[in-house]
Order: sequence, then structure tokens, then C-alpha cells
Amino acid sequence: MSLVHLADACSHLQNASRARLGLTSIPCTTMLHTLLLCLQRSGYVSNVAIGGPQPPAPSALNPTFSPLHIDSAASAWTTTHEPMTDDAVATIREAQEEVDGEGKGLSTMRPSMFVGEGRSAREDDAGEGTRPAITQANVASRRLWVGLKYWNNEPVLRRMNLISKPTRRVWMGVPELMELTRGHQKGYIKGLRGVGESMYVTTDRGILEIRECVERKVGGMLLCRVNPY
Amino acid sequence: MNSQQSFRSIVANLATPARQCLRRRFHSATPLRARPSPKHKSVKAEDMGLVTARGNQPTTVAPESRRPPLVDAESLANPETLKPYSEEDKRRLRKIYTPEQIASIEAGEEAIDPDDLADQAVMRDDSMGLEYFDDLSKIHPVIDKPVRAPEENYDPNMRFKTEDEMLDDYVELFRNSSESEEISKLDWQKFKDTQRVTVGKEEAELNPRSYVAPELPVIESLAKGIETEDIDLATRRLMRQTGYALREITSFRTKILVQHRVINQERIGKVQREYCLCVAGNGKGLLGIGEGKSVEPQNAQKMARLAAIRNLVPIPRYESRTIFGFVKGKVCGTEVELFSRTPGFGVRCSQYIYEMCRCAGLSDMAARVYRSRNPMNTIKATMQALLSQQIPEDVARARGKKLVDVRKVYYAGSV
Repeated sequence: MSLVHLADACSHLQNASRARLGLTSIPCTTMLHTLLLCLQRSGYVSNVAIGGPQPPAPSALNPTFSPLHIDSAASAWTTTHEPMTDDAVATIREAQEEVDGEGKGLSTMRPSMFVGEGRSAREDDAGEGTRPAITQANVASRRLWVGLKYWNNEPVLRRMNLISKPTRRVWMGVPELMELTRGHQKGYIKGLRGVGESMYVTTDRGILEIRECVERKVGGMLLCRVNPY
Repeated sequence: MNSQQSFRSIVANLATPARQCLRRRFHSATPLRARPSPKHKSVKAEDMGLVTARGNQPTTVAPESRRPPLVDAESLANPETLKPYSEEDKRRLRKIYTPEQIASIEAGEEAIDPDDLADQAVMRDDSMGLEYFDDLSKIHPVIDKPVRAPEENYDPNMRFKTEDEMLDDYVELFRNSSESEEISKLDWQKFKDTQRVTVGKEEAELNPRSYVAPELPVIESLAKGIETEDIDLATRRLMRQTGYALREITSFRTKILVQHRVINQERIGKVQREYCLCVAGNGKGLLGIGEGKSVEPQNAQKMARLAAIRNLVPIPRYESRTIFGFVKGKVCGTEVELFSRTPGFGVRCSQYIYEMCRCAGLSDMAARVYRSRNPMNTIKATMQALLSQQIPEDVARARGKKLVDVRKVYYAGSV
């Protein structure tokens, strides 16, 4: 769990929003992937997909994508992009299923980096044998492709900052997290005072939004703070 | 031969610089490398259709300020819809227009190609646009040529009647009237209407040609609130610019917050002037700040007051009492933080922010001013902060979340 990578990703997403990018990529790590799925659930990013060095096809980014539309969507996309990354679709589907069945607990929400391990029996039955699996040969070239959101020509995710730093990590229990959600300062950490502000905490049940932590009564290490303005 | 070739290649290598430098170098340091193209190229939001180009962002025009289009733009753009007049249309036109007008309409129809019209015709919807499309029965005082009497009406020999001639008119009246000595009221009125005071052409007196420009029309929206009483020029101009009536302008709460002398060293010596900063508001969410500078203190105050009213802008307020969440503003070295507070908390702020809150109609708020506490910058930073508020509904909409204000839901919304 490198906070240096997280810091880079925070800065990159912030810069990408300011530069009005629609689709950008960050290094593909388990923590970043889980965090981005959290951001997607909070509505800060539109989609998250694991892909190669080139941007994936739009079909791979749309979770509600139906396989019937593969050909038309792929032909609409320019040839410079990769034809389609099915693994990204699968990852998104997994994430969506997790979101749908949220009550099951988030311990299973970790993305399956290696398809052979994380694949469920149901997916094998789906007959998607043609998708490029993540192998040891190509795992280093994988990137996390993030679709950024805009509303009224303004970015939805405007600020994203680290709370724990690589040299100073901050852990908090439930009572302190409760204080933070109410907008009170705890130590040198400012509470959630802005409109629509969020904080993300890494816990033994995965990465959770701070309000979710309070709801589930789990503490953990504060990762980052996200602002929509 | 081989040695010659190798020598040539060495010379060629020396002649071509390692890195081509297009711009002339003014210093001896090695130029920076060109920025490398990114390893993982991102896709722009504009290319994905998520945002529109920055240059042509949609301008926000208040819907009520827009006039409804007279002719459907789509129907105008389609040459199919531009058909020649049918017999039925012509019959209707004949009811309204004279034969000459109809002839000119037909000539115009014939002269313009429908395809050209579809290409080029644009309906204006600004304030100077025509109010009618083809209503030739009306005369627009600005756009149309003024209607004047013919020049033949002029009579160079026209002169006023002498007293004797006037007396003759009265004698004529009595002679023509009925036998009774009394003149009926009707006859008297007729005489008054038709009596002429000049000798010469009749048209020259009754319908003379005028060379005076026609009177300009009164535009209702701009004429609103103009009172006949004595208003000074600056206020009158403010009324014209903002559209506020005089009673509205006088009802705004204004407060001079900063006033001091400023001295400018010029060629002729020190020039002293008075600087003034004023805030204005209506106590219902409008707030503006204005600055004025003049040799006379009173003049500076007035300039600042009017500028503040001119700069009035709406400020988002939660429940008409406090702000939304927590906002920051920064002007130069002054940093201001504003906090929303619970009902009944009051305005616990610095004196400048307090006055601004009173003008804007904010009753519950707290504020901190960090670093520099320059009064002028504090006021400007507060204004900036108040305008940078995010509305929770907008944020929820952007994030795709459902939002319910529980204060409006519990206890029948009477909290």
C-alpha cells in the first residue's frame, strides 16, 4: 500500500479535471482500483476499467453495455484505440454486482487482478473465452482507465488531496470518524464542512467512504479527501 | 575511398547540430528538451462530448427577457415551407393592403429566391429587431421613412389674415346662419373648426410639410419608473443601466465601510483624493460592493453608493438566513472563511463582514479572517466567498445522488 502512488493519482485526477480530460489513466494497483470504484459509487467518476496502454473502447466503459451493440459501438470508435477490453467489462460487471448486492459485505470487492483466480464459475459459463486475460506477460502494461464526469461544463471532481502522508499516516476509530463527519476538527484533520465533500478510509473491510465507516462502525486509516468544487 | 567516406561522415556529423534549435539562443545554457508526448495518452472531454468548447459556452439569458420568435426559425430555414401566395392568401391580403402595396409585395416575392431566403434570413430577437414581420400597414418610427405631407402643400404667398379679413369671416357666419339672431352651438363649432387664419393655399395651413424629425418612441421597459421629479444625472443613468425605479434605489441599504484620503505624487505635486468603498443590498439576497474616488469626499461617497447598487448580484442563501456550507475567499494576502450556522446563532463576524451580512440579509453566520486584515480586501474576499457557494442540489445532481433536506421533512417543515 503505497501512499506515494495514491498521491500521484490524486494530483493526476485533479489535473485531468482541470484540463477537461474525458478519459485518463492511472497506474493499475489494487488499492487505486478499489478507491476508484468507491469514487464511482459516490458519483465522482463515471466509469473505471482496467485496460492496456491505449484507451479502451467506449463499450468497455459503459457498465450498462449490452453485447448486442458491440459491433456498432466498436466501429464508431476510431481505429487508433484498442478494439475492446473484455476484462474491463468483466471488472465493471463484478463491481456493479457488488454494488447491487451491497449487503453481502465489501470484503469480496477486491478486484480480480488475475483472471484465473478471481473468476467465478458463472462467468466461465458466459462463454467469454476470447477476452485477453491479465497474464504475467501483460500485467505490467495494465492501466486503470477512469472516465471523468462533468456537469454544466464544470468538473464534478475538482479537488482530491491526501490526508495520510507517506511519512505520517493517520488512523482513527469510530468516535473520531463520527466527529469528522459532523464537521468537527480532530487533531489537525479538518472535518467535512464543504457541500458534498467526501473522505475515504481504508479499513479491514476494504476502502469505504467515511460515512459508511461510521454506519458500519469500523475505523481505519484516512486516505484522501475529495471535493466537488 | 573508404577513408574519404568516413571523413565525410565525420564532417557531416560535426556540421549538423545534435539538436536542432529553431529559436535564437540568448544564453549559453543548454536548451530544455521538448516536452515528451505522454506515454498513456488521455482522451479530451470535448472529444467525448462531455463538455462544450470553452470559447462558446452557452450564455445565460433570463427566459423572460427573451422575446418569442415571430417566425419559426426552422420553417424559415426550410425552402419547402416558403411557398408562393395562393389565391386564398391573396384574397386575404387584399382586405388589408392597397393594390399598390400588394403589387410591391408580389414584386418582392418574385425578386427573392426561396433558397436564398432559407440560407440567409435570420430573425433578429434583440431589442432593435422588428416588432412585425411584414405588416406594411404600420409605420415604425425608427426603421421606416417618416410619412410627410407633399412638398406641393407649401405656399410661398401664404400670410396671416388681417383683422378686417377676420371680421369678414364673422360677418359671413352671421349672414349664413338661420333667420334667428342666435347662432346655434353646432354652427359655432363648425365655424371654429374650419376657420382659417391665413390667406393662400388651404393645405399649406392645415397639412403643412414638416422637416422636423419624427418623435422617438417611448420604450416601455426602459421608461419604467422614470419620475418627473428632479433626479440628478448620475442617478438617472443608474436607473437606465439597471432598470431599478427610484423608490427601489432609495430602498436599498447602503453603508460606507471604508473612507480615506489617497495621495498621488504627480509632476505638479501631490494630488489628494478621497477613496470610498460602499456595500449595498436589499436585505433579501442582493449584495454589491462599489468603489469611488474623487477630490470631494461627498462625491466619492456618492460614486461608491451608485457603483455598489450597479454591482448588485444575487447571493445564494439557505433558508433565507445563512450560507450553504463552508466557503473560502482570497484576495491578495487576505483570506476569509465563512461558516454556515444554526438558526438564532447571529452574525458573529468582523465589522465589515457583519455589515455585508446585514445588507445581504444573512442572519446566521460565522467568519474568520486570516493573514492580512486589510478592510478593502476583506470585503472583496467576502464577496468572492459568498459568490463561490455551491448549491447542494447542484452537487447532488452532478454526482447523481438523491438529496433530501431533512429540515424540510421532519416536524412538517416547521423547524
